[in-house]
Amino acid sequence: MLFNSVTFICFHILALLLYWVLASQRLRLLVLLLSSLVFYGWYYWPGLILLSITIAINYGLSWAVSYYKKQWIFVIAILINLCNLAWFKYATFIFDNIELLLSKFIPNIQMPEINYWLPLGISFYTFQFLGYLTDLKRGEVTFEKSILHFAVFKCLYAQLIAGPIVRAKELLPQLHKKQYFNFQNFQKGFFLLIGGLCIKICTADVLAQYVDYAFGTPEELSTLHAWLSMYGFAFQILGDFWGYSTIAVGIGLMYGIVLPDNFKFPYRSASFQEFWRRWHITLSIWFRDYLYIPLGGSRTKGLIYRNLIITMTIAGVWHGAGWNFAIWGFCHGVLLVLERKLGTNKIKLKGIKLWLKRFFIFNIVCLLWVFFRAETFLEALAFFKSLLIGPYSFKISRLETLVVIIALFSLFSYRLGRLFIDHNFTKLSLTKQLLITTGLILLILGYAEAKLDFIYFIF
Amino acid sequence: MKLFFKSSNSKQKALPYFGFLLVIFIALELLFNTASVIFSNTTSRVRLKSAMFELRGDTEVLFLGSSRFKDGISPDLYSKHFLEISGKNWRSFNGAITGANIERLDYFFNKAIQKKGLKYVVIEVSMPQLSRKKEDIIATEKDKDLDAKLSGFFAEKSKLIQWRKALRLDNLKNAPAILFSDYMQGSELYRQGIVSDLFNDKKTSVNKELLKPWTPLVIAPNTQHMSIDTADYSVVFNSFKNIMQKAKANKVNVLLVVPPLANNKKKEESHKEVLNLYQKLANVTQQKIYNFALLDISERYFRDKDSHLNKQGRDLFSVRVANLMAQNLIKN
Repeated sequence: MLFNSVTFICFHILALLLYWVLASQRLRLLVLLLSSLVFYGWYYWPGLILLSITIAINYGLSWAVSYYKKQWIFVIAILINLCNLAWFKYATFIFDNIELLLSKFIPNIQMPEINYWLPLGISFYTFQFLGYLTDLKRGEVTFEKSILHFAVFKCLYAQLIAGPIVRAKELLPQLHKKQYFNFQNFQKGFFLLIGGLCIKICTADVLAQYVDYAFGTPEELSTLHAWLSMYGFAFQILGDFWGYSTIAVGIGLMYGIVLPDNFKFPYRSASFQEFWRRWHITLSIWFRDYLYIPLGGSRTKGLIYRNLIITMTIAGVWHGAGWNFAIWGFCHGVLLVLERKLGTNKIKLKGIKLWLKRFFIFNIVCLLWVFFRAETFLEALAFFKSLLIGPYSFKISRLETLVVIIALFSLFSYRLGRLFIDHNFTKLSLTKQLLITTGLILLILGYAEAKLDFIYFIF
Repeated sequence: MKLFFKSSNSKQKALPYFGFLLVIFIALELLFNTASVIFSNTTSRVRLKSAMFELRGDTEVLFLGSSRFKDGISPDLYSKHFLEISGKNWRSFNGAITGANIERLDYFFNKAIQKKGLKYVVIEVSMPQLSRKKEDIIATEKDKDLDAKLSGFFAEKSKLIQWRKALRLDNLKNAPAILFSDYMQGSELYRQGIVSDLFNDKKTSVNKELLKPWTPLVIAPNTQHMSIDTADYSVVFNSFKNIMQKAKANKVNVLLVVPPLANNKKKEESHKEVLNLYQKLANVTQQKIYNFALLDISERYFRDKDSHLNKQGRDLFSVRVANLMAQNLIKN
């Protein structure tokens, strides 16, 4: 089920009503679990089987990890989850590359063809399992005995498919505590839901039409068209993912559950380090805590750079099974290393210098998005050719709309995004609250088109 | 209730927020119900122009056609010239739209013919105008999944949802055109060439010399058998038959005109089969067709290669159509 569909809105209202009408916390959790399973199965019901099995197996594994406290059990538990992810997400990629490599030595070699479907949100829920198991091992959380609480923690529909990646110590205590209906939280949740939908529908989906065309025909683009499309994609992916995360946090709040923020104006970053502290925050924290630090983090000076590059390359591959994503992650890793080496991430700038640096970082980030968006490495190269290599042409055909959308998005998203923080919205006067909400709902009504998937669904 | 409302302060602003929000949307629903003529017609070009025509005051002449007519006819100049030569002060409206086709023509004509005081309809005959496309005047939900069904259900119950696309900024900008349709002549909308015309073209002084090449060829109805596969165009012929019948019943005259073509379009749209089609149409409707497509009209009167006239071309063509109509009136 998609957040941006009428079915979801009806479903969410029903689930909310049922949740708040029930007085018992266990029954409420049961409502959350069942609605999460319906939500997940709606898209492709066989996915439910894998999700249920994964939850059951991980419940057993987490019990074993916490009960026996053995390193090898922990390693097996991690490997089982990684194998599950590798099989469903990376098998084709791995086999294709093995075939390519071996074909040089063994002609006519054929690896098995894997035609499995990609289970929705598998990367997200696998990472949540891995994080929980590691926290258990480290003694940061205790084993969750109730299978109901455990299952809701793993598949709460607000964040099941595309995050934010919630940690056990953040969510489980909230599930144990009986929630009281708080109008202010409910209102903020409602506003976040509307705001997120508006960002997704009125900006990301509108930009998608232009961007899809441009990346589909990179050789036909004028230089100006290519640059505008690149910026277009930068805002499309922000709108898409930030919109989703905002909706998720809003849904959580409507149930009285606080989920972590995932975005904090990433394109205002003055360094790559800052960018990763503002973009997909929960994923960055996950990689920091469960990969970068275990690798040695910044404790051994000589290994910082290696750890950074490994972490970022894996983060790239996490996004998708393809060399494009690996290159994208690797480049970010290299940039983080360069930044550290030059010490530019620590320089405090003000005024015009700060804005110039932000502009520079933004453009590099946008250029790297080309690897992320292009279907293949060759397609990315073709796009770079249109962007950077002549003959330069500045023909514009119907691109004024794209310029207007990008300009409006950057202004609109900043103004709106400030209201998403803390209780900035609920502190506004009632008239302003009403005007803003009405405006957003009207925009959603006007621009809601055929439902477009969220980009991060495939990760 | 204590269970739900733990904090009494927090609900102080939140309760009226949801209450007023409900009131606002009830008010918007009422607005969409009372002014549905505006909201329901802003989302489609043909419905927009049809509504403008329906709502404006007395209008005696209506032009229907594709973007070639939309750019090629200036109702103001036409009416002025027509007054000079015929003494009749007839107001006219340019109902031509970009992307015209036979279904859209049917829709517009059947609505327009009901307007009291309408005396003349000038219809463009051209390949775009005679083309057929999927019905798109009234959007219909084709998908039958639950989401489509739910959307359909809510759209049935609420005008705000039914005409929600009117809320898009690019559609909303059409609302004033309907509100002030009496002051508009139909050519102001979607004119891509208007900016280049303003800056590039000098004022045309329409004179006899300039008008000379603009004398159309006449395709008169005859009894000759046409070797044309009529099955492909049966819908077109039926539409035109219907148009002629309705026009006759309502005592409205019809003038069929093939607009001028730029050189590169001539090969495409003036070959034998197309001319046969026009002849067949003349025979079916028993109506003369005035053909400007074969004339040797200078390229400087076109603003692009798609046969859209520029300001100079438009002025000359408008005057020539006014002359044709005046001649026809005298004959009738």
